[in-house]
Amino acid sequence: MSGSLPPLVEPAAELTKEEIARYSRHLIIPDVGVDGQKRLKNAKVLVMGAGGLGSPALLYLAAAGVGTLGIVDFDTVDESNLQRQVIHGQSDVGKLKAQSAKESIAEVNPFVTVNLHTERLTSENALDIFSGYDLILDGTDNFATRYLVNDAAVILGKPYVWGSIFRFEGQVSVFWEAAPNGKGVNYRDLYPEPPPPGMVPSCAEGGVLGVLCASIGSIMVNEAIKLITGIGEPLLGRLVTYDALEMRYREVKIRKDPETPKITELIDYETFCGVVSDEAQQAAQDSTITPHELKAMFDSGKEFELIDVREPHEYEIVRIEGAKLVPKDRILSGEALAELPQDKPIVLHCKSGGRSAEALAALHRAGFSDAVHLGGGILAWAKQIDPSLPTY
Amino acid sequence: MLKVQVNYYASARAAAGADSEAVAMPDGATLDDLVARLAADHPGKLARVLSMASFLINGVATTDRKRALADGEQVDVLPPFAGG
Repeated sequence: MSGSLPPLVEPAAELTKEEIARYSRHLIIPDVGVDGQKRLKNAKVLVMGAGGLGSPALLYLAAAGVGTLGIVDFDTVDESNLQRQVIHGQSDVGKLKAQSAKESIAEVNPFVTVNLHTERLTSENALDIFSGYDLILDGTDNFATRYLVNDAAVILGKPYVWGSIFRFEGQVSVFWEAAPNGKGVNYRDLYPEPPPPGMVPSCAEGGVLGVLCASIGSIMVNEAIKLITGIGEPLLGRLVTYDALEMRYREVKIRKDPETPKITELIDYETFCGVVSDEAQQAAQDSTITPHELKAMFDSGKEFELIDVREPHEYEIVRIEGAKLVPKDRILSGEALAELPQDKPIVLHCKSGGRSAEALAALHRAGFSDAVHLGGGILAWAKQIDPSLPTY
Repeated sequence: MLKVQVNYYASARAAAGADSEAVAMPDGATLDDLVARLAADHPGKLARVLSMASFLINGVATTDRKRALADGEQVDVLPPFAGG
C-alpha cells in the first residue's frame, strides 16, 4: 500500500450555515471534516455521459456537495434508459440527458453549479472542455470515446476515474499519468489496443443489469471523493473487477511499461478503433474469425476464397498469400458480387477489420450468409501469425 | 519447463471455466505459445475471447506476442468492454 495522495483540490473559503446543516454527516467524520467538505465545495468534476454510470455518479457527487459538475452528453432520454439511468424519469423521455440530469441535481442539491456540454466530445473540443475541471469521471459507452478521454486527460495531466460495465460485470480504476507519487498509469497501460471492431458487444447489444450501474458508479464516486479530499488509498495502479452473480471483487495490479510511447497529441479515435455501422457490427457478431482460425483453415487444405477488401495501394504494401483483391466499395455497390464464388466459403479481410465488417454486412444481405471476416485484419495476422510481414 | 499462473477475468473466466490455472510450458515459450495452448486446452469460446483480450504479465500490458515467458510469471487475461 502506497498511502493516500495529496488532496487534489484546495478548500473553499467557508461553508455557509445551510451547508453545515446539509453536510453534517460528512463533517463529523474526522477524515472528511470541514476541510474535506470545503474541498468538495471547491471541486469541479466533469462526468462523461449521463447514462448508466453517469446517473448514480452525478446524483451522489451532487449530494456529497461537489460544487461544480460538468455533464458531457449529446443524447436524449429514451424509455429503454429508465431501467438503469435513475437520474432521469418518465417525464424526461425525449429531453436532452444533460438537461434532465441538471434538473434532478437541482432537486438533490441546489448548491451545485451544473455546466452542460451537449456537443459530442471530439479531438477538437476535448482539451478545451477538460481544462475547466479538476477531475473527470468516464462512464461513456464506446471504445473510441474511452481512448479520447484517456489521451486528453494524459495530455492535461488530469486524473480520471474510469468505470465500465457489461451484463453482470464491472471494472473500475483510477488513471492518472501525472500522479504525484510517480506511479502514474493510464488506460493504455491496461488496454493498449482497442479490440477488433465488431468483436465486443455494447450494452445496447448484450444487455446490462440495471443495478450494476449503481455498484460501479458508487465506487467511481468513492474514488473521486478520496482524490478530491486526499484520503484513503486511491485505486491508482489497481483494477477492481466485480462479478454481480458471484458477488465477488477481484483486484488486478497495473504497472507501466517504460517502453510504451508517450501520448502527446489527440488522434482520430473512430479510425483508431475501427468504428463500424450497427449493421456491420451485427454482421460481424457471429461471423468473425481469428488469425489463428484463418491459419487453421489454410493448414487444413480446405477450399475457401480469401478476399482482401482494401485499396490496391495497400495491397501493394503487404498482402496475405493467396488473397484476392476486391476493394470494399465495389462490394458495397454490388458491382463485384458476380465475381465472388458461390461454391466455397468466403473470408474477407482488410487492414484492421472495420472495412471488412462493412463488406461482410453487404455480403450477408446479398445472400452469402456463411461469409466471415478476419477480426483485426492483416495487422492482427502480421502480429499473431506472420511477423515477417511489414505493417503500416 | 516453466510454469505460469494464468488468471481469467469476466468473459475469459466464463469461457475457461476457472478463475485461474497453473500452466506448464516448455522453456523458451512465448506469450503466443501460451495463447495457442490455452485455446487448445479450452475448446469453444475461449479462443475468441483470447483474440481480443489484454494480457498483463506481472501487471504490465504486453502486446508483443513473441515475448518469452519466465517461470513464476502471472498472466492476467482481461477481455475489454466499454459499456457505461
